[in-house]
Amino acid sequence: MVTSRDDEFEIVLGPIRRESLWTIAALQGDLTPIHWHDRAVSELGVGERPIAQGSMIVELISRAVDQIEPLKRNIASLEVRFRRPVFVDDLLKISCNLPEGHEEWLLTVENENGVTVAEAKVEPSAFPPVS
Amino acid sequence: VEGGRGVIKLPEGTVSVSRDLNSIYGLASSLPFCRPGGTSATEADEESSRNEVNFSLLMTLGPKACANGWAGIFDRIGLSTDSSVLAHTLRMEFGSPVLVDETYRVTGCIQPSRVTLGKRASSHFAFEACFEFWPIGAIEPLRPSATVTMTMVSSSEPTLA
Repeated sequence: MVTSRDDEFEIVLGPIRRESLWTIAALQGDLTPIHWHDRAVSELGVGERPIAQGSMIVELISRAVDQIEPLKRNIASLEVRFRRPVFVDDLLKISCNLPEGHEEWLLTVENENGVTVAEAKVEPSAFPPVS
Repeated sequence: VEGGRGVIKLPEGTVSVSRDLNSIYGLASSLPFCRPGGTSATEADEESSRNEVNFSLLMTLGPKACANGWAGIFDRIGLSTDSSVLAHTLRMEFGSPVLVDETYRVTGCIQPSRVTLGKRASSHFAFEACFEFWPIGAIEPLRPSATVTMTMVSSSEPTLA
């Protein structure tokens, strides 16, 4: 659900499903255990549950971009910085501030503990969407 | 080492962007299939929104075309898939739209990254994988339809150079 106030938009997504990580791992050919094996993650010392693939986070940001009305235009570039791992069962909040006149938008992805897990910069295209 | 100092040029490949795969990708993360800046594919507007490819599907198709997926990429740089490799940054730049049912020529390379790591990761290594999607047609475009660059951080040293 998207909520908005003035130039600020917020969308809550998730929880991240374990089955989705398996599907994406199979499609990508990414057999890295941290995406499916709890123990591999605990041995890495970053958490207790499997870590979502970067592409999953991009997917969620893509969804936010798709649901926030002012962002519904062609995109010239998208840059994502993965700050912290996103785990299975995490609930994420994506917020975006769209000050008028700015040609570059910043999206912040936080987990339910308020920790920023990713930041994205979206540059809209000068051209209208293709139909 | 191919393609310059520390750069591994991956074999060129082609991908036909399948509508089904685009749809599966959306379903895997409970998403409708999306397009860059476009409209979600609901039943009502499926026809109008069917064309463009989900962002993150490009992250699958690039490695698949050039090195048979991310496991193949890791293998090329001497890392096993149980190495602790984490995504650091991703950048996608779009030219003309990448469309389902079209075929693209994909080029790819892997190289050391100049990204600055924080203190906690100073003992780690950064490398980036870059893929370009070129439309196949009579007229060679000036720039690719999409460029995907992903920087990853590893606790082991990739054998790039």
